[in-house]
Order: sequence, then structure tokens, then C-alpha cells
Amino acid sequence: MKRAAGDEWTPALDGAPLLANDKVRTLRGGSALIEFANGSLVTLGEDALIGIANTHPLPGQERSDLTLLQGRLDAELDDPAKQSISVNTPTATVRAGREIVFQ
Amino acid sequence: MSFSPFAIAAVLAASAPAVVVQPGETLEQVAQRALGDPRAAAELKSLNGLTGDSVSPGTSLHLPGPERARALSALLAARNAISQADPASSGLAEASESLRKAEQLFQAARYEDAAAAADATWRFLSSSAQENTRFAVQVTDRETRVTSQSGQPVRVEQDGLTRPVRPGQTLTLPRQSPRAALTAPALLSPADLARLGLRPGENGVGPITLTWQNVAGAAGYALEIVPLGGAGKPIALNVDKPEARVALAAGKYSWSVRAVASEGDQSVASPRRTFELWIEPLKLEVKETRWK
Repeated sequence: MKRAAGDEWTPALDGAPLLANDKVRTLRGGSALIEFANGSLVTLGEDALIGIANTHPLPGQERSDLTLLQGRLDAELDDPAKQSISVNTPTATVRAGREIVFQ
Repeated sequence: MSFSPFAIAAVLAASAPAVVVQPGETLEQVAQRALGDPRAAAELKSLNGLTGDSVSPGTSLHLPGPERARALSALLAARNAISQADPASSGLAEASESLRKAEQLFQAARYEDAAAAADATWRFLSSSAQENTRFAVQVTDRETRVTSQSGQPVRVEQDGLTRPVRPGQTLTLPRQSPRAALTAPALLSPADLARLGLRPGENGVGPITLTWQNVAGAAGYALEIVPLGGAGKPIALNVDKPEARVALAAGKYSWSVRAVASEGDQSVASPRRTFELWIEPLKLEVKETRWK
């Protein structure tokens, strides 16, 4: 993983907290499980690269949880009436669960 | 220091949000000014116990608190959920009825009840609403592929258009010429085929500085340095500026740079250049001694 303010990739430790603009990369044969504050789960497959989005979006801005730049992720919401997740990709934005509308 | 119940009530009343009706202003205009929506006049009537549509100038009207925004958000989400629901869904009629009830409660300024009724619409939409929502996203150089596996449909937004992807469906979105937006950086220094004599350091020779021209729209650059003659592994560096300082072992190298957009798209690589590093011999100056 690479911290937003850092220049170096370091091995991610189990339970490491992720903050806005941090990046997580998996190598060949690797995987990572990320749990968001609302309980939604994201599993990264091998050779994947994601960036964590801003955790405090501004009014009028579309909400986003992470950006998938490369590879595959699997997401799961066990209470989609209350949870939500959004994934940016270079091509589109994927949203699931409850729609969040900022006033 | 102590407050009487009356004093506390007075403080609460004074801090509650309110709006004063201006001369000639209708209730709809007050609602537009205070809440951004003339249709919120019904809420103001309910909230302030008004029976008619006119209010006297100078009248102070209570405004809803933050619970209104929460209820409005739940309403918008429920409306969208119903509009995107499968028309064949068995629970669509119940969901629509629940939404209608939520709208009525909202008009009556019963915001907590309205939010609960709006949330209830989700339960009726489909038998799969209680399942975990699972989906997968795959990004390659050529496309983004979204597969909905279970639960509720996922929404895919592209160029302002939203498309639902229901469980069992896959949507493939070709990448839109990702490399057309950024041009390849023009390398500046060292010059091609340069021979650089440097002094040895702790981590190799140098460091040397590689520079290239800034590319409009680039959020960073991906630099690749390849040792020639099988002298080692390629070195990949990501930097924010159009320059990099690296310490290398003596030898020959080729290098190239790609511009990287904030979304991760990359330009094509710049034309490669080569350079050679060699270690400058230390100059030892021995002065003539006066001893004989």
C-alpha cells in the first residue's frame, strides 16, 4: 500500500486503516479484503490497483468510495437498504445499494 | 448557575431555524426562499399549524431541522429505486404505495415517519431485496466489465447516462481511446548516447537527474530505466514532476517516460534514449615535500 503523502509502496499489515487517497495494490497471486465503515466489503483480486476516495465528499459532488485503476474487485453489501458503495473506473462509475444524495 | 424550564424552552425556541414573511410574499415564495422549493409550502403549513394559504408580513415561521434533509434523501432514493425496478417485480405495487405514503408524510412535515416509509419501499421491490448485493468490476486496458451477481441491480453511470445491471447480467464498456488524451513526453536530458562520468555514492553512481518536458493534463509520469546487456532488472518509478533523480550502478541504460492522467490512463511511451554511466577516477594530488 502507498499512503497519500508517501512515495513508497510498503507491505500492508492485517487490519491497517486506509485513509483518503491511499492506494492499495495486489501482486500476482495476491488478494486483499477491504472493509468500509458502513460494513460493505471489497475483495481485490491479483494484479489490482485501487485508490481510496475522499472520505468527506463535498455537497454537490458525487460520492465515491474508491477508484479501480486496474484488475478486478468483488463487492458485497449485506444490507443494501442501508449500505452503499461506489466504484470509479477509467470508463464509468458503478454504484450499488442505497442511493446517497447530498443536499 | 441554573435555568428554569421556561428559560430552557425560550432558549430552544430562539435557536430553532425560522424565517420571517416579507411584505407581499406568498407562502410558496417563502418556501422557495427558505427551503429552495415552492412545493414545500405544504410543509410550512403543517409545521406551523397554518390553516390558510396566506400569512401576514412579519410572521415568523418555524423551519424544519436537519431531519428534513435525511427524509428527502430517503425519498429521492426510493423514487429512483422504483423507477429502476424491474416492471415485473412482484412487490412493485406495494413499494409504490409505500412511497406514496412517504410523500404524504413528508408534506405533513412528519419527516422521521416519511424517511421510515421511504426506506420500507426497498423491502417490497423484489424478493431479492433481502439478499446480499454482490457484484464484480474488472478493469483492463481495453474495457470495464461490470457483473451483477445477486441482490439488487447495480447502477452504471457513463457520460451522464445511468444503466441498471441486474443479477446475472454483465455490462461491458469499451475504454474510450485512453491514450489519445495525453501525448508522450519529450525527453530532455541526458542527451541520447550521453556518457556521464559521476562519482560513486552510497547507492550507486550519481545520482543523476533525468528530465523531460511537462505534458498538459498529466498528473504524473511513469519512468522506466532498463539496464542494457542483461546487467539487471528494469527500474520503474512514478513521479509527480517531469524529472527524476536516481542512483544507478555504472553501465549502459535505456530509458523512456509515459505521462499518467489522474484516472490512471497513460500516454504511449516516449522514444527511448540511452546513456552510459562511468565512475570518474579520483584525482590524487601529491605535493612535493620539503623534507630531504
